[in-house]
Amino acid sequence: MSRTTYAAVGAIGLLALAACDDGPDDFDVSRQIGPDPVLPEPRQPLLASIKLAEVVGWQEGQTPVVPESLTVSAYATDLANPRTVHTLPNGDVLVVQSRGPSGKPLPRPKDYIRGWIMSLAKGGGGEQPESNLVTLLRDTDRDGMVDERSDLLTGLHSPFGVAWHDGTLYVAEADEIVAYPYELGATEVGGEPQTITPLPGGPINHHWTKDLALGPDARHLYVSVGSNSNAAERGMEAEKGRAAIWEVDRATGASRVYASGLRNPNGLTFHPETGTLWTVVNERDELGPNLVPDYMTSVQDGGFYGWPWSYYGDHVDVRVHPPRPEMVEQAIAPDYALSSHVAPLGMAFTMGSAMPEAFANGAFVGEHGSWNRTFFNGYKVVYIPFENGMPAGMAEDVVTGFLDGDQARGRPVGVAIDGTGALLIADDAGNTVWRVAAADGSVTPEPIGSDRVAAERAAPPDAVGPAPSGEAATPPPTEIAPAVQE
Amino acid sequence: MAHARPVDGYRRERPRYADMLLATLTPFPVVCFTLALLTDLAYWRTSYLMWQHFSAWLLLVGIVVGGCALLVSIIATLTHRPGHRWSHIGLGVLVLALAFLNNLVHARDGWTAVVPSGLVLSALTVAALIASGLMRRASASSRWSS
Repeated sequence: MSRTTYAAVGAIGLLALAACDDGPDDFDVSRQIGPDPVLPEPRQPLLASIKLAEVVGWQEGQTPVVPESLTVSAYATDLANPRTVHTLPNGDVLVVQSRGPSGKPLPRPKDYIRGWIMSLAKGGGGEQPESNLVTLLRDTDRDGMVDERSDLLTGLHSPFGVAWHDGTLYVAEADEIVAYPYELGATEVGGEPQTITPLPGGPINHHWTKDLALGPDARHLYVSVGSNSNAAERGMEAEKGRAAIWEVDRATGASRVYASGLRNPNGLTFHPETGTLWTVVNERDELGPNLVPDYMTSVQDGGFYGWPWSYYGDHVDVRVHPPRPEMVEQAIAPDYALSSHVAPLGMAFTMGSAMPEAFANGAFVGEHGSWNRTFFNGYKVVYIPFENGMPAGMAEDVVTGFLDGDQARGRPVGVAIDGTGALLIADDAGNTVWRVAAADGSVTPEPIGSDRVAAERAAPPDAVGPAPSGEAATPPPTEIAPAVQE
Repeated sequence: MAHARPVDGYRRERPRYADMLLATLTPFPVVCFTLALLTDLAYWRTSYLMWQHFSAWLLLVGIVVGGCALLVSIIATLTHRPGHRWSHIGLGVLVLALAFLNNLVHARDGWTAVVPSGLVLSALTVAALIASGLMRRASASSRWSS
């Protein structure tokens, strides 16, 4: 009897070891970059493969690495977890600094272990400077160096996206969009905030970053609301209005779900020529090191992109129960995969910037970096060339050097084109905003804001025509889908 | 009570701390793992995630307290306390190993945290518990009868 017992114990041990194996490490990551990624079979190892980079920060004189045609410098340092950068129409730059809200309920033993592991990758330790603020950076003489710096807003509730139009500054906090009276050129806001609309917030608020973009018609704001879970494991009740991009009327605050099934969308930005909304999305984890590729996609009004029931169209996620084949059938496959677990959080188009020819007609994407694989992916800024309003070609690593062996000096988040036409990168782990400019020193003739309203766009092909068709009487079926559970 | 009986002819009056401790600790894994099987069944039938959360916590508590019980058993066996045998420990290890694997499975997200492998492991854990109980009983009665 006891011999059998020992044999059984041994067999279980071997089984556990086999299950921990991460599989072949020779998977070519680039096969998951582009419009048609290779999607291996999902695997659910007993222990999720995890590799986190300890954050060590930048030493004096250290910078990220850029190709020869570019030059990199620290635009602003000593920030407190800068997440996004936003250029106002006059060329002033807003840096949104924030930390995630705390107090998330932890329903499973796993959540405690996960929280502890994730805290290792956040760096810092000890006394942390006050975060949750918006800082204004002004480059008066347009030489690529910040001449004035002032904290515009402090004590916010985990802000992420900002937008400005017509004397009003909009800030997307973790659970609402607020508006402050603010005139360009001022170094402080001109009054008390007003709530434009509440957004799905706590107490869970798992993917808390609410990104914001102003529509080309300047009438609507578009705000991203990430999911409350990895793959709906907190129940669909927790996902009402989430994993979606909302369209919010600037004047009235009236809002609707513009597109859904987007697990954690960020980097909202309108294509300067086509006027189409684009976003980068963090896809789900724990299906193996090479699933599911994160992506960049144009966003269709009323479009449903699969989460949680499927990914890349009809690839069903069996973890979500009960299954919803009718939702899977509607799921739109995204435009461009960025490869798995790179965690894209920022996106900026380069048309009209002062970037060299090789980077002047496409998009930069900031990749925060992976945790759910045994070797790193992401931790860099890539450039994807565009043609005729769509991605055309392989992504190219442009800004690297955020990793140093198994340690991270910084991690890129939001990206934007500054008032001189150079690329800015918010580095939340390195507490720095980096500026990447053309090495030949070219600058744009005049500043272009991050949000370009239609009048400012150069001959937009679709500027005239009927009003946005989103006001149709029947909401698309996907609008209410996330709230439904039989 | 059993401890009043003369056992091996010596150490007859020695208080049996190990057995007292085990009497307190052992019910935890037995009850927790049995309930985890029931909550797994409930999740399987309802897709209601609350049951899956119950299972994960029950498995964790069962493993922690069961681990303490196993430690006490090992010490008792090493020090030749009467009625403690390596074969019992083997089964205890098997139960805890199954429950630990099961807890890893339960750490997955959603349906596959339970169906099918979590449910199967919960059932195997309970089966191993029953086997362990039967074996203890058998060895205990054979000891009294000899």
